[in-house]
Amino acid sequence: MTDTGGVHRLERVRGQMHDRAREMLGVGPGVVTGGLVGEMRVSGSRWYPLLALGGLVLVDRAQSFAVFVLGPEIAGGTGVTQTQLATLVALKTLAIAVAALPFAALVDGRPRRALIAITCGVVWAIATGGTGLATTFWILLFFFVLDGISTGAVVAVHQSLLSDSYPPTLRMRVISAYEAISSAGNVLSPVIVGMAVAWWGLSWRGVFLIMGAVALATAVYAMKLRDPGFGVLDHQRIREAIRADVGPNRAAPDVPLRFLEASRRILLIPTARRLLAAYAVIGMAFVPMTTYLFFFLDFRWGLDVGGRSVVYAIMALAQVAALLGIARPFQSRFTRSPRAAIRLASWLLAGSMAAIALMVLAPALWLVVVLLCIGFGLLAAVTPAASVIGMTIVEPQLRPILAALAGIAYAAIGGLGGVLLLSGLDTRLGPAGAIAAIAVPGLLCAVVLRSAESTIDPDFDRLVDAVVEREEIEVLVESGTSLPLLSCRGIRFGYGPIEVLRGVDFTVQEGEIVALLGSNGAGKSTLLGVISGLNLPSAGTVRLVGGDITYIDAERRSRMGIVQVPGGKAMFGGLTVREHLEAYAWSIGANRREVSKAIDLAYDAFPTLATARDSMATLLSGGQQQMLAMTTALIRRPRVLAIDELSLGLAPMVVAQLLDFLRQMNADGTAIVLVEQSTNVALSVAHRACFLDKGEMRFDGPARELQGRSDLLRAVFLGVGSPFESRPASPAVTDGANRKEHPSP
Amino acid sequence: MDRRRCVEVMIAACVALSATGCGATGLDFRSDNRLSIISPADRAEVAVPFLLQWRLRDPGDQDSAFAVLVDVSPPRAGASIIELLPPSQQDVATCDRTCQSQALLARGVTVTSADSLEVTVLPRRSGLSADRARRHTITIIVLDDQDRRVGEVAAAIDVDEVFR
Repeated sequence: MTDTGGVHRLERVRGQMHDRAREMLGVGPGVVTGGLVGEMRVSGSRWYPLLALGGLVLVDRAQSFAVFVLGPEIAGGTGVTQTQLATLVALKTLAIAVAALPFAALVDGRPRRALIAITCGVVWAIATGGTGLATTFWILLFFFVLDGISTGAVVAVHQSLLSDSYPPTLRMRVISAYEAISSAGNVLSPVIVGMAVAWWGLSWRGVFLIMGAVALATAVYAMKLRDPGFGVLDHQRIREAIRADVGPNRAAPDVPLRFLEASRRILLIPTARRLLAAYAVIGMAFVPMTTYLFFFLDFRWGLDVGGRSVVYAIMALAQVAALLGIARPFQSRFTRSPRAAIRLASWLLAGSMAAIALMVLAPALWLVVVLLCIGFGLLAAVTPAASVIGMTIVEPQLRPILAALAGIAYAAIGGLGGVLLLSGLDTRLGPAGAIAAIAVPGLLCAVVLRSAESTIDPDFDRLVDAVVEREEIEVLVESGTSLPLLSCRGIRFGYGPIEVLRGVDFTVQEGEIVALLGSNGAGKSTLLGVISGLNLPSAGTVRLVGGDITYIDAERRSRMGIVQVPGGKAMFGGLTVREHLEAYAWSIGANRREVSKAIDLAYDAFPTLATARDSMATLLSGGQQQMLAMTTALIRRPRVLAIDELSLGLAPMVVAQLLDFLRQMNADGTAIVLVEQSTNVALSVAHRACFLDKGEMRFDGPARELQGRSDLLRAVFLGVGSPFESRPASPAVTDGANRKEHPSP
Repeated sequence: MDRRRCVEVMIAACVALSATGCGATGLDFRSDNRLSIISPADRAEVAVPFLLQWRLRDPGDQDSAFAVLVDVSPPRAGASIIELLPPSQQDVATCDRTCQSQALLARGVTVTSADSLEVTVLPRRSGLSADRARRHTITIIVLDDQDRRVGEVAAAIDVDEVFR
């Protein structure tokens, strides 16, 4: 931050804390992992959250699988066709995908995941029992969708809740165990159905009623679940470590992300995007391929319902074994380096796809079963790895949203998209062709996942730095260090593959006018967009008085006091001057009296606008249009006003008027960031100047000093190459009075 | 809403739901295996014409006929077999009993009081792979004298059609 001591302290603490914070997130040479049971005992963790959530997902999975097993009986009893039954299953899958995000929104920043998990457990019981009472397609539809919606909660809250209930060193194995319990539902389901039919003589209705009762008992068992809060065993400990080292805590200044902002923020994380691609392929394999596998085993190998159920149960057992067996190698690799875990996950994904594709060519049934066990076992093992890696690279509050997005990738993109893809292939190539063809997207996805090797460390470090920086800023505030009004740190932004901003640092103090200069294409307007929220950076933070606003919507930032006047015609052509002013005044929630007052204020600032009040904005002169743009900013009473090209194409007299206006706004307390092609104009009004060159900040110091730098100014005036290109690298210069020169790398 | 209230609401919903279920009739919670198909065997390869034979043990008072459905899902318990027809053919004013019988036959539904049936035609299906297109599901249900389905008793087999 601009207080040099504060900045140095922040950098020092960040450096000191970095490795320690990584270890607190379960990564590093100092992290020791043991067996699941021993680690549970050592860490003092309870088995209850795993058993309660595992029990809930077990009965849900068993119920879902029972629909496959008892499908013909359900169709025969209720009069629905096989197509309608398939539609019901597809709609349930869709409901899972659609419901995951609203459930994530329900727990967004509010620790009530346990309550939702329990409630949905009770709803499953109702849906399962209700299915046994259904007599028509529409009643079945109601219960299937109800079941799907409540299963959306599993997707959104279960793994996030488990993550916060166990320390990072246990997470991979706990989530693997949870997934193993879930897979065990596929084994138990045919067993329960078989027992209920053979021993108790129950029909499919009786089976569903029994399963509903079991589900209700499980929900009752889970009643003691409690939400421990977000990040209590990782991020909270990092914060406590910083406080213990440096000083007491203070209320966080961060602005909480809203749900859609948080979702968008997750999608900006490169590793998260790659993991979501992996989830889509896993969904494609598990959701529609299960159906095609049924047909394949039926037509190619003549297996009836009983035979197919046995194969599925064996596959589920293989998944349980794989999940339990591979959890420890995954955990140890992850502890050593997340890159190693990514590498292993991508190999497993590729291996599973190859095994499934080869399976269709197998000459003997036993080989088919072996390859299916390998394929689906490896595929199942990827899921907890992807889950833990994902949970590690996002803030704890965002974990339910990431899980929901993963659920959508799994169910909607993979599941429903896979149905469309495979049904077309099935018609042309038959079930074997459809199953083999899935290896193509599967192997591509393994390559994409492998590419996350290069993104995981930067993403992980970014998170660690963000936690440390956030906590340290609180400590700086507590110690009385003044924070800049606006600060950008390490901003990176690109348009597709072209990186425009490369780690830019930029600050604005209260009451300051900062000129942002540079040649064409240097990244000035892009940086303004990052400040105002029109551009979201791929790395770095934007803070308003210490509060992180990096991923806050532009519209919210405007209400927080960051207003941008874009270059060119910043107006709506179809509105008159007065309508413009009214629209902006109403947009800040002003009442009629305040609107009138704001308009008078604008007319006082530029009387020429008063005379043209009923003119269409497009009919105004260039100077009048810029005046109108300035007054719309004035109405919004900004704390930071970012102006892109104030003087472009305007007469000197008009420019002088506009500069006077800016000085007055600044005197009234508005800090101003001015992007200008004309250095004379910019430096005549600015207190400080910054010079951007090819996306990097080259100069940051008093405006009068820049006037003496003809090499830099030539670049702006003449558009010549970077003045830094021909200069030898020299150490950065800091005079302690807020002047920095950044050398070429 | 606190947790206790939430659970109470859920239990109330459960009870209400169960009550609506009680209103339905003909729901079998225990397996009814009295009806079985003797030939052909499940998943047998058949060529039309072939003989379909079945047996009903311990027939009840209401059981008076059977409906043989080829690639058609049966109606729910208590519903008339006529409900499988389009609405325009369900009204005897526009489609008499003979018309309805022919319409049912065209749809793949045969009503008979015998315990066997010679199947002379199997429907052609499009939009499926060759293997799946030749797979047919035959379901037999029990009807009362009003052609309504009796309970949920049913027998079903899959057969694969071969062409000579």
